Amino acid sequence: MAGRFAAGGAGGRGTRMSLTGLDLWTSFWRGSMKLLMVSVGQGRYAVSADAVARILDPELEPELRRAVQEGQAAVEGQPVRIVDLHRLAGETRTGTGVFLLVRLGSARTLLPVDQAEAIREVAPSAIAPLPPFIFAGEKRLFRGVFDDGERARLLLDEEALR
Amino acid sequence: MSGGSAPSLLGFRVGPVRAALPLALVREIIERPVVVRVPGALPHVGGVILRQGVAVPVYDLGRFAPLWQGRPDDTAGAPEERRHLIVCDWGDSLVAILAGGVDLLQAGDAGPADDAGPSESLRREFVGGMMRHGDSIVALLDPVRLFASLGVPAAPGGDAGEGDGEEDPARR
Repeated sequence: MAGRFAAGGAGGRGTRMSLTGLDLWTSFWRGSMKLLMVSVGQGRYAVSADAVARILDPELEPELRRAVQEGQAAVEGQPVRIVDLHRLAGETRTGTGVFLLVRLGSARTLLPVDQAEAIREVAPSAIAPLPPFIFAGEKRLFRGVFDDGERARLLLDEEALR
Repeated sequence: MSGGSAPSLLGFRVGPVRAALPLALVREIIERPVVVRVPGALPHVGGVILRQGVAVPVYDLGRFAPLWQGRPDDTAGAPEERRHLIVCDWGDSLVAILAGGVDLLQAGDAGPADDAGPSESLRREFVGGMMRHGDSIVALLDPVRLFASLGVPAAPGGDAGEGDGEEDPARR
Protein backbone atom coordinates (compact mmCIF):
# COMPACT_ATOMS: atom_id res chain seq x y z
CA MET A 1 0.00 0.00 0.00
CA ALA A 2 1.20 3.49 -0.67
CA GLY A 3 -0.37 6.70 0.49
CA ARG A 4 -0.32 9.48 -1.98
CA PHE A 5 0.80 13.03 -1.65
CA ALA A 6 -0.73 15.11 -4.40
CA ALA A 7 0.07 18.67 -5.33
CA GLY A 8 -1.44 20.76 -8.06
CA GLY A 9 -2.71 24.23 -8.73
CA ALA A 10 -3.70 26.91 -11.15
CA GLY A 11 -1.60 29.94 -11.98
CA GLY A 12 -1.82 32.67 -9.38
CA ARG A 13 -4.08 30.64 -7.12
CA GLY A 14 -1.48 28.84 -5.10
CA THR A 15 -1.16 25.13 -4.70
CA ARG A 16 -3.65 22.63 -3.42
CA MET A 17 -2.27 19.62 -1.65
CA SER A 18 -3.81 16.50 -0.24
CA LEU A 19 -2.92 13.32 1.55
CA THR A 20 -4.91 10.36 0.35
CA GLY A 21 -4.92 6.62 0.70
CA LEU A 22 -3.95 6.63 4.35
CA ASP A 23 -4.93 3.30 5.77
CA LEU A 24 -3.94 2.99 9.37
CA TRP A 25 -5.04 -0.62 9.69
CA THR A 26 -3.05 -1.77 6.72
CA SER A 27 0.03 -0.08 8.13
CA PHE A 28 -0.61 -1.75 11.43
CA TRP A 29 -0.93 -5.20 9.94
CA ARG A 30 2.17 -4.80 7.87
CA GLY A 31 4.10 -3.49 10.85
CA SER A 32 5.22 -0.44 8.94
CA MET A 33 5.04 3.28 9.53
CA LYS A 34 3.71 5.64 6.92
CA LEU A 35 5.99 8.66 6.93
CA LEU A 36 5.79 11.97 5.15
CA MET A 37 9.26 12.95 3.95
CA VAL A 38 10.00 16.66 4.16
CA SER A 39 12.97 18.94 3.67
CA VAL A 40 13.81 22.00 5.70
CA GLY A 41 16.93 23.86 4.62
CA GLN A 42 19.82 21.40 4.62
CA GLY A 43 17.90 18.95 6.78
CA ARG A 44 15.85 15.95 5.70
CA TYR A 45 13.14 14.88 8.07
CA ALA A 46 10.13 12.61 8.31
CA VAL A 47 6.91 12.90 10.24
CA SER A 48 4.24 10.30 10.78
CA ALA A 49 1.76 10.85 7.96
CA ASP A 50 -1.05 9.85 10.30
CA ALA A 51 -0.26 12.87 12.45
CA VAL A 52 -0.47 15.34 9.57
CA ALA A 53 -4.00 16.66 9.54
CA ARG A 54 -3.57 19.21 6.76
CA ILE A 55 -0.99 20.79 4.53
CA LEU A 56 -1.45 24.53 4.31
CA ASP A 57 -0.21 26.66 1.47
CA PRO A 58 1.02 30.13 2.42
CA GLU A 59 0.13 31.28 -1.08
CA LEU A 60 -3.47 30.74 -0.10
CA GLU A 61 -3.04 31.79 3.52
CA PRO A 62 -0.37 34.52 3.45
CA GLU A 63 -0.76 35.36 7.12
CA LEU A 64 1.05 32.09 7.90
CA ARG A 65 4.34 33.41 6.57
CA ARG A 66 4.15 36.45 8.83
CA ALA A 67 3.17 34.30 11.80
CA VAL A 68 6.44 32.33 11.71
CA GLN A 69 8.22 35.26 13.33
CA GLU A 70 5.70 35.29 16.16
CA GLY A 71 5.82 31.53 16.69
CA GLN A 72 2.06 31.25 16.59
CA ALA A 73 -0.67 31.38 13.98
CA ALA A 74 -4.42 31.19 13.91
CA VAL A 75 -5.88 28.13 12.22
CA GLU A 76 -9.64 27.91 11.99
CA GLY A 77 -9.80 30.69 14.54
CA GLN A 78 -7.69 28.85 17.10
CA PRO A 79 -4.10 29.69 18.10
CA VAL A 80 -1.59 27.11 16.98
CA ARG A 81 2.08 27.02 17.93
CA ILE A 82 4.66 27.11 15.13
CA VAL A 83 7.84 25.04 15.43
CA ASP A 84 10.45 26.57 13.14
CA LEU A 85 13.04 23.95 12.21
CA HIS A 86 14.94 26.52 10.19
CA ARG A 87 15.58 28.54 13.31
CA LEU A 88 16.41 25.49 15.43
CA ALA A 89 18.94 24.39 12.82
CA GLY A 90 20.48 27.86 12.76
CA GLU A 91 19.41 28.42 9.17
CA THR A 92 17.67 31.31 7.51
CA ARG A 93 14.31 30.52 6.04
CA THR A 94 14.14 31.05 2.30
CA GLY A 95 11.43 30.37 -0.20
CA THR A 96 7.78 29.68 0.32
CA GLY A 97 7.31 26.06 1.25
CA VAL A 98 4.22 24.70 2.96
CA PHE A 99 2.96 24.33 6.49
CA LEU A 100 2.12 20.95 8.01
CA LEU A 101 -0.66 21.01 10.57
CA VAL A 102 0.40 18.23 12.92
CA ARG A 103 -2.25 16.93 15.24
CA LEU A 104 -1.69 14.78 18.31
CA GLY A 105 -4.84 14.32 20.32
CA SER A 106 -6.32 17.75 20.78
CA ALA A 107 -2.95 19.47 20.38
CA ARG A 108 -2.07 21.03 17.05
CA THR A 109 1.24 22.41 15.83
CA LEU A 110 2.28 24.05 12.60
CA LEU A 111 5.51 22.91 11.03
CA PRO A 112 6.83 25.04 8.16
CA VAL A 113 8.78 22.94 5.67
CA ASP A 114 10.46 23.82 2.41
CA GLN A 115 9.05 20.83 0.61
CA ALA A 116 6.80 17.84 1.24
CA GLU A 117 8.55 15.25 -0.87
CA ALA A 118 6.77 11.92 -0.63
CA ILE A 119 5.03 9.43 1.57
CA ARG A 120 6.82 6.17 2.21
CA GLU A 121 6.36 3.15 4.38
CA VAL A 122 9.28 2.46 6.67
CA ALA A 123 9.74 -0.59 8.84
CA PRO A 124 10.00 0.39 12.49
CA SER A 125 13.04 -1.84 12.79
CA ALA A 126 14.81 0.42 10.28
CA ILE A 127 14.58 3.40 12.62
CA ALA A 128 17.45 3.77 15.04
CA PRO A 129 16.61 5.52 18.28
CA LEU A 130 18.53 8.71 19.02
CA PRO A 131 20.56 8.71 22.24
CA PRO A 132 18.58 10.89 24.66
CA PHE A 133 21.76 12.28 26.19
CA ILE A 134 22.55 14.38 23.13
CA PHE A 135 19.67 16.70 24.00
CA ALA A 136 19.78 19.39 26.65
CA GLY A 137 16.33 18.77 28.03
CA GLU A 138 13.90 15.93 28.26
CA LYS A 139 11.81 17.26 25.42
CA ARG A 140 13.43 16.35 22.13
CA LEU A 141 12.17 17.04 18.68
CA PHE A 142 13.37 13.80 17.13
CA ARG A 143 12.99 10.22 18.13
CA GLY A 144 15.02 8.37 15.57
CA VAL A 145 17.04 8.33 12.40
CA PHE A 146 16.84 6.05 9.39
CA ASP A 147 18.41 5.62 6.00
CA ASP A 148 15.93 6.52 3.28
CA GLY A 149 18.11 4.97 0.60
CA GLU A 150 19.91 8.17 -0.25
CA ARG A 151 20.81 9.66 3.10
CA ALA A 152 19.99 9.53 6.77
CA ARG A 153 16.76 11.23 7.75
CA LEU A 154 15.53 12.29 11.20
CA LEU A 155 12.11 11.20 12.41
CA LEU A 156 10.21 13.94 14.20
CA ASP A 157 8.63 13.16 17.53
CA GLU A 158 5.05 14.41 17.42
CA GLU A 159 4.93 14.26 21.21
CA ALA A 160 7.54 17.01 21.33
CA LEU A 161 5.44 19.15 19.01
CA ARG A 162 2.61 19.33 21.52
CA MET B 1 53.73 5.68 13.88
CA SER B 2 57.00 5.30 15.72
CA GLY B 3 58.88 2.01 15.72
CA GLY B 4 59.25 -0.32 18.70
CA SER B 5 56.39 -1.70 20.74
CA ALA B 6 52.84 -1.95 19.48
CA PRO B 7 50.81 1.24 19.53
CA SER B 8 48.43 1.62 22.42
CA LEU B 9 47.12 5.11 21.79
CA LEU B 10 45.29 6.90 19.03
CA GLY B 11 46.55 10.42 18.61
CA PHE B 12 44.54 13.15 16.97
CA ARG B 13 44.31 16.88 16.65
CA VAL B 14 41.47 18.84 18.10
CA GLY B 15 41.84 22.60 17.64
CA PRO B 16 45.43 23.57 18.49
CA VAL B 17 46.00 20.54 20.68
CA ARG B 18 47.40 17.08 20.00
CA ALA B 19 45.48 14.63 22.11
CA ALA B 20 45.23 10.87 22.46
CA LEU B 21 42.83 8.22 23.70
CA PRO B 22 43.51 4.56 24.47
CA LEU B 23 43.49 2.60 21.25
CA ALA B 24 41.51 -0.16 22.98
CA LEU B 25 38.50 2.16 23.03
CA VAL B 26 38.57 2.81 19.30
CA ARG B 27 36.27 0.68 17.18
CA GLU B 28 36.88 2.39 13.84
CA ILE B 29 37.96 5.58 12.13
CA ILE B 30 35.82 7.02 9.38
CA GLU B 31 37.10 9.56 6.89
CA ARG B 32 34.86 12.41 5.79
CA PRO B 33 31.69 10.98 7.30
CA VAL B 34 28.24 12.25 6.49
CA VAL B 35 27.02 13.59 9.81
CA VAL B 36 23.32 14.31 10.24
CA ARG B 37 22.81 17.48 12.22
CA VAL B 38 20.19 17.24 14.93
CA PRO B 39 18.44 20.56 15.66
CA GLY B 40 17.93 21.02 19.37
CA ALA B 41 20.91 18.88 20.37
CA LEU B 42 23.59 20.13 22.73
CA PRO B 43 25.97 22.64 21.07
CA HIS B 44 28.93 20.28 21.21
CA VAL B 45 26.97 17.52 19.48
CA GLY B 46 27.80 17.71 15.80
CA GLY B 47 25.01 15.32 14.93
CA VAL B 48 24.67 11.58 14.50
CA ILE B 49 25.84 8.96 12.07
CA LEU B 50 24.18 5.66 11.29
CA ARG B 51 26.49 2.69 11.75
CA GLN B 52 25.03 -0.76 11.29
CA GLY B 53 21.61 0.39 12.35
CA VAL B 54 22.79 2.30 15.40
CA ALA B 55 22.61 6.08 15.78
CA VAL B 56 26.05 7.11 16.98
CA PRO B 57 26.36 10.58 18.52
CA VAL B 58 29.13 12.73 17.05
CA TYR B 59 30.91 15.06 19.42
CA ASP B 60 32.78 18.18 18.39
CA LEU B 61 35.24 18.62 21.22
CA GLY B 62 36.18 22.03 19.88
CA ARG B 63 32.76 23.20 20.94
CA PHE B 64 32.75 21.45 24.30
CA ALA B 65 33.38 24.45 26.55
CA PRO B 66 34.26 22.56 29.77
CA LEU B 67 37.24 20.97 28.01
CA TRP B 68 38.96 24.26 27.33
CA GLN B 69 40.61 26.96 29.36
CA GLY B 70 39.35 29.69 27.07
CA ARG B 71 36.45 30.17 24.74
CA PRO B 72 35.86 26.97 22.77
CA ASP B 73 35.47 28.84 19.50
CA ASP B 74 39.08 29.96 19.77
CA THR B 75 40.26 26.37 19.77
CA ALA B 76 37.77 24.67 17.52
CA GLY B 77 39.90 24.51 14.38
CA ALA B 78 38.60 24.66 10.84
CA PRO B 79 36.10 22.00 9.76
CA GLU B 80 38.54 20.80 7.12
CA GLU B 81 40.97 19.93 9.90
CA ARG B 82 38.40 17.65 11.53
CA ARG B 83 37.68 15.31 8.69
CA HIS B 84 37.86 12.06 10.64
CA LEU B 85 35.49 10.44 13.02
CA ILE B 86 36.94 8.36 15.80
CA VAL B 87 34.25 5.88 16.81
CA CYS B 88 34.77 4.60 20.35
CA ASP B 89 33.20 1.84 22.36
CA TRP B 90 32.22 3.14 25.74
CA GLY B 91 30.51 0.56 27.83
CA ASP B 92 27.59 -0.55 25.74
CA SER B 93 27.47 2.71 23.76
CA LEU B 94 29.18 3.97 20.67
CA VAL B 95 30.50 7.51 20.68
CA ALA B 96 32.21 9.36 17.82
CA ILE B 97 34.62 12.28 18.02
CA LEU B 98 35.39 14.69 15.20
CA ALA B 99 39.14 14.98 14.78
CA GLY B 100 42.00 15.55 12.40
CA GLY B 101 45.56 14.31 12.10
CA VAL B 102 44.80 10.81 13.35
CA ASP B 103 47.87 8.74 14.15
CA LEU B 104 48.87 5.65 16.11
CA LEU B 105 51.13 6.27 19.09
CA GLN B 106 53.06 4.26 21.64
CA ALA B 107 52.49 4.97 25.29
CA GLY B 108 56.10 4.29 26.25
CA ASP B 109 57.09 7.93 26.32
CA ALA B 110 54.12 9.00 28.40
CA GLY B 111 54.88 10.76 31.62
CA PRO B 112 53.11 12.79 34.27
CA ALA B 113 51.51 15.99 33.04
CA ASP B 114 53.92 18.16 35.00
CA ASP B 115 56.93 16.55 33.29
CA ALA B 116 56.00 17.86 29.89
CA GLY B 117 54.30 21.01 31.03
CA PRO B 118 50.60 21.68 31.22
CA SER B 119 48.51 22.13 28.16
CA GLU B 120 47.86 25.76 27.46
CA SER B 121 44.37 25.11 26.24
CA LEU B 122 42.92 21.98 27.82
CA ARG B 123 41.57 21.95 31.33
CA ARG B 124 43.85 19.87 33.49
CA GLU B 125 41.10 17.66 34.91
CA PHE B 126 40.56 16.13 31.48
CA VAL B 127 44.24 15.28 31.00
CA GLY B 128 45.54 12.05 32.48
CA GLY B 129 49.11 12.65 31.37
CA MET B 130 51.35 14.19 28.74
CA MET B 131 53.77 12.61 26.33
CA ARG B 132 56.17 13.76 23.68
CA HIS B 133 55.64 12.57 20.13
CA GLY B 134 58.16 13.96 17.68
CA ASP B 135 58.13 17.70 18.13
CA SER B 136 54.72 17.88 19.68
CA ILE B 137 53.32 17.32 23.13
CA VAL B 138 50.33 15.02 23.27
CA ALA B 139 47.70 15.29 25.98
CA LEU B 140 46.43 11.90 27.09
CA LEU B 141 42.76 12.46 27.63
CA ASP B 142 41.05 10.84 30.58
CA PRO B 143 38.22 8.94 28.85
CA VAL B 144 36.25 8.41 32.05
CA ARG B 145 36.18 12.13 32.77
CA LEU B 146 35.70 13.11 29.15
CA PHE B 147 32.76 10.85 28.30
CA ALA B 148 31.07 11.42 31.62
CA SER B 149 31.31 15.18 31.09
CA LEU B 150 29.94 14.82 27.58
CA GLY B 151 26.90 13.19 29.14
CA VAL B 152 27.52 9.67 27.83
CA PRO B 153 25.92 7.47 30.48
CA ALA B 154 27.52 4.17 29.66
CA ALA B 155 30.73 3.74 31.63
CA PRO B 156 32.49 0.38 31.57
CA GLY B 157 30.47 -1.88 33.80
CA GLY B 158 27.52 0.50 33.56
CA ASP B 159 24.04 -0.63 32.76
CA ALA B 160 23.12 1.60 29.82
CA GLY B 161 21.93 -0.07 26.63
CA GLU B 162 23.49 0.39 23.22
CA GLY B 163 23.01 3.98 22.24
CA ASP B 164 20.89 4.23 25.35
CA GLY B 165 18.15 5.56 23.15
CA GLU B 166 14.44 5.21 23.22
CA GLU B 167 13.60 1.51 23.17
CA ASP B 168 11.22 1.74 20.25
CA PRO B 169 11.26 4.95 18.23
CA ALA B 170 8.35 3.63 16.17
CA ARG B 171 6.30 3.29 19.36
CA ARG B 172 4.96 -0.14 18.47
